[in-house]
Formats: sequence, C-alpha cells, structure tokens
Amino acid sequence: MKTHDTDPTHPPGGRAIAIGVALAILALAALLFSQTFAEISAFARASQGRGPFFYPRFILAAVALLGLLMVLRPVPTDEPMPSGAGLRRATGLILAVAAYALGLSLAGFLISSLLFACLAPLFLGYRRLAVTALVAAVFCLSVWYLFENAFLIILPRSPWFDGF
Amino acid sequence: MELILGTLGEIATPLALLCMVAGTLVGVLVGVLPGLGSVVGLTMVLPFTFSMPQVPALALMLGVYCGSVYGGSITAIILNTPGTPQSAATAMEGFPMARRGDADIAIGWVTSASTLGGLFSVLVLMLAGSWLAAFSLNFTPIEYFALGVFALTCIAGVSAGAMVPGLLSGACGLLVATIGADPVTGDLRFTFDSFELSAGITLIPVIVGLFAYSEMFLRAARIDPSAAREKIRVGFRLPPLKKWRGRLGMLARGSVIGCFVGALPGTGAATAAFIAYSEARRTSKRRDNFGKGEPDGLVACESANNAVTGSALVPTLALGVPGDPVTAVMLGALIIQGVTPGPQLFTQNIELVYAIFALLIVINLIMFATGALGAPLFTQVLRIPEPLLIAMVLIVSTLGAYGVRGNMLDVWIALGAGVAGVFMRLAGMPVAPFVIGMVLSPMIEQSLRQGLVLTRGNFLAFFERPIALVLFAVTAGMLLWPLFGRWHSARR
Repeated sequence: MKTHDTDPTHPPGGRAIAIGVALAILALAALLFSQTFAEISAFARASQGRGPFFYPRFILAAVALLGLLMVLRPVPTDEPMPSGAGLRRATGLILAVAAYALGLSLAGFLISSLLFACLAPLFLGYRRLAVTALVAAVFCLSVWYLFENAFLIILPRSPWFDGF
Repeated sequence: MELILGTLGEIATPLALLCMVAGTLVGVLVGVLPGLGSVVGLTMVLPFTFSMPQVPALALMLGVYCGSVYGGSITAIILNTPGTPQSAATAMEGFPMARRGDADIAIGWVTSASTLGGLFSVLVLMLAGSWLAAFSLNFTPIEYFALGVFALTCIAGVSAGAMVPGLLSGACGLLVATIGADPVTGDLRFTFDSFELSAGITLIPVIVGLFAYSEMFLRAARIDPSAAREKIRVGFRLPPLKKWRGRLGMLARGSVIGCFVGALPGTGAATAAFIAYSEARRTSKRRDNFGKGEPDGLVACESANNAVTGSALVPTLALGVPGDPVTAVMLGALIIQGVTPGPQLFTQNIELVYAIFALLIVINLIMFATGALGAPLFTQVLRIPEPLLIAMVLIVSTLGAYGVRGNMLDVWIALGAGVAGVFMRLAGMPVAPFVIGMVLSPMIEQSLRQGLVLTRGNFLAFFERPIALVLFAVTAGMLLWPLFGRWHSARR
C-alpha cells in the first residue's frame, strides 16, 4: 500500500531505533539487576530451590548479552519509519489513548468512549461527521450493554450519572 | 450399540441442540473480542447450567470452550489482534494473508484446521484418554521444566531472519513474567514497593498492547486518505483439496502436539500453538514463506490449539485434576451436575463419557458452520474506513485489558506495551517471542525450582529422568542440527 507519510530517504526500520531500543533494554536490565540484591526472606535463603532471584538473574544475563549483540549488530527491518504527518498522527493517537484511559477513571466508560470514538476518527482524517457520530453512538452503547449486561463486567462509572 | 444409540438420543434433544449452537456462538463472540477469553465465556454461562439436565449443560460449556478457542483466530487474521493468547501464533501468518487480500481463504484454512484438530482430539480422547491420563502422571516438575525448555525453542523458530532481536524479545518476555510474587517463596520481586505490581503483570494486557495497540498506532501513521481503497475479498473460501495434499502431515503433527500438550495439566493451548508453529517452520518445505502468509503455519497452530480442547479434558475427567482455569470452571460445573470425575467415571458413568465424545464431535462441526456462515460478516470489518476501525478496535481492546481484573493499571500496562510494541517493530524485534516468553516463564521457573527442591539442589539429577532426558536431547538436537547442517554444507 503506497503511503505518503513514510520517509523514503532513510533506510527502512532505522538502525538508530534498534540501537536505542537495545540500550533502553540494557538500562532496564541494569536497574532490575540492582534489585536482585534486595533482602529476601529466611525461608527463601534456606530454599534449595535457590531463592527468588536465581532464575531472574539467568534471564537478566541473557538479556544483557543479547542486548549488547543487538547494539553492536542491529538487524535491518522492512517496517517503514513514520515521519511527518504520519508520525504526528501516531503520536497524537498515543496521547489520545492515554487521555481516554484517564477519562475512563474520571468520566466513566460511556462518556469517555463516546468522546474518543467521535474525536479519534476526526483526528485521523475522517471528515464525515454524521457517520462518525452515528457509528460512535451505536458502537459504544452496544459494547457497554454487552459488557455490563451480558458479560457482567462492571465498567468504570461516571460520577455524574447513576446508570452508567 | 444400545449405548451409542442412547447417547445419540440424549444429544439430539431440542435443548441439547440449542445449547450446542448457542454455546458455540457465544464462545466465538467471546473469542473474537480481544482480552476476554474462554474463562470469561464459561463463567458467563455457568449459572445457566444449574437448572439444566447434564447433557445440555455440558453441551453449553463445551460449545463455549471450543468456540472461544476458534474465535480468537478471527481477529488475529483480520486485525492482527489475537482475541485469545493461543491465537497470537495465528496472527503471524493469518494477518499477512489478509493484508494481501486473502482474508477469505485464511479463514477457510483456520476453520478447517481447527475443526479437524478438534475432531482429532476427540478421537484421541475416545481411544487413549485413560492411557494419556496415566502417562501425564509421570510428569513431575523435572519433566515440566524439560518441556518448558523444549518449548523455548519456539522462540528461535519464530525469530528466523532476526535471531538476536527475536531472542532478546523472548528473554524480555521471560523477565517481565517474573515481576510480582515469587511462585515458590512468595518474596516480592521488581515491584519497586508498588502494591499494584505485587500481583504481577498479567498476560492479556500485554498481548492487547503489543498486538492491538501497536498495530493501530502504526496503522494511524500509514493512513493515506488519498489512496484508492484496495479490493478486499470478504467471505469464506474453503482451501481446494489439492492444497491440502502437502499439508496433511502438518495437520497431523499439529494435532498430535496439541493433544499431547493439552493432556498435561498447567500447559495450555498457547504453548501447544507456538510449539506446533515452530515445528511447522522447522519442517515445512515452504519455510521461506513463513511470516508472509504461509498456510502451513496456520494449519499447524490452529490444529494444535483446537486439539487441546479435547485432550485438556483428559486430566479433568480421568483424574479429576483441572489442567487450567478453563477446565477448572468445567470441573466445577460437572460437580454441580452431580458428576464425580476420576478413574471410576469411565466405568460407572460411561454414558456420560460417550455423550461428551458425541457433543465434542457435533460442536466441532457447528464451529465449522459458524465460521463458514459468519465469515462474510466478520470480514466485512475490513471494509470499515480505517479511522473508524482504529477507534473501535482501541475501545474494545481497552475494555479487554480492563476486564481481566477490573483494574485500570492493566489499561496503563496495555498502553505501555503498545508503545513498546511500536518501538520493537520499528527496531526489527518480533513481538511474538515476547508473548511466548511470558507464557512459558511461570511454568519454567516454578518447575525448575520445585525440581531443585526434589533433587536437593542437584541439577544433574534432572538428566536421570528418562522423559526429561529425551526432551533435553530433542531440544539439543533441534538447536544444534541447523549448525551441523551448515558446517556439513561448508565442508562440501
């Protein structure tokens, strides 16, 4: 599929991203490794199963070795790097989902989902407002009904209304 | 003969037939929605079974179980968003097929393989249920550890072409699963004094984030409103018989793997699906096409994950030991119905056992019909304008993450996993190994530590167990054989 918002001049995938991800994983592994020297219970010390940090240390060693290999020899990928408007859309959508998650706690499922279902398509370039509003209403109400009444999964409630 | 006729008479009642159809439809719906899973479906219908006779109650439960295992594959194919953990392997081949316009035949492959795998497991249950149950009793923690290590070779299998990033992704998955309480001693690990993290990070929000969220974020970056909409084939297309000829071995192997893994308590369909997929990738003549929409991969993982449905009942019925949360709920339903699982079930209540066999056969056929008739509706999703689809998928996925524990932390975990998934994909790190690592890590760690307690800390004693030794040898062979092959070719 031809896209306009991927950068044709840089190699696909981005060596820099690969190295950055590997470095981030190495940093996280170092942090977690420092946690493996925390105090453990007497039962754990006496356990012949080797204690709570026996297994994680093996895994951390593997993560460190593989992370280092990935920094030294990043593997190219076919995934095109978003840039320009594409990058803005992806970033904006991530922020919108974060706001949606906050909204779930503050305003309840139905209100925040209706807002998200109306605004997210507009942000992504879909300009048929009537269709968006109708689809958002039908979809959100159906999902709310299905989860609350059929699956009996109580969804976050709004502080302003009793039923939802 | 009278027994068989009697059984057919019991399952052919209007109530039993209604329960089979309704259960399968509910199961498929639950499986399609990301994050819900078989346990939610079963607990949802459990109260309805209290007032029903035995056979219709079992029909409802088994229908939901089989339907939900199959349903997760639909969203895996159409949206690259596995509805259930065991469908993550399906996404690796099904979604590329859908992306090139072959969603209809992908669903055809998945539906056929699932049905055949499910029917195979019924056959195994009928012929070898008691034997499998007795065999599974030989599995101590040492054998489980060996099986877990063997299953880890899946990570190498699905990482071909990006071995180091794939192994790193798998190792990260193994590590993330250790967050929370130590399964043996209860000590808290990597929680940073956070009460919420003391319960650990559950699998479903991570799958929702890595697959659903990251896919939608990347789709948002690729939207091109000015591009003409590609012609997308919707509906259901059965693969031609000649295409099956080279794949019957794959189907048989996937089904056997699913039956074997499913009969072991504590393993599950996700483990079976990934082992089968990895094995298919290793043995297929078309292994170069894997990751680009190769039906071999679909046949292997779908036959395996549905073969688990019958064999998972082996420890439940024959030993009274539930293999996983799904069979634990079914065991509860059986007990409420006055059935006492255990070895005596096969002698004292043989009519019920035959009824279960017959129900599973019919339910697998209903599942095929559901897929064939429902596929035109499912695949219409592909025609929804992308911005609307992205919003809807994000809402349902968020609910799926929330619905696991009713905890907003899971939504934030899913979002974090989604952002991580975007960077992983851009960095060339496959996300499937991360899921494999998370699925296998608890079993590997717990069995390793329990095994060390049993052997008083002596790891070498692990190799004195025959089944474990065989599994370790097979694992070593699978890892070393490609290297040997390359060395041999270089010598020539």
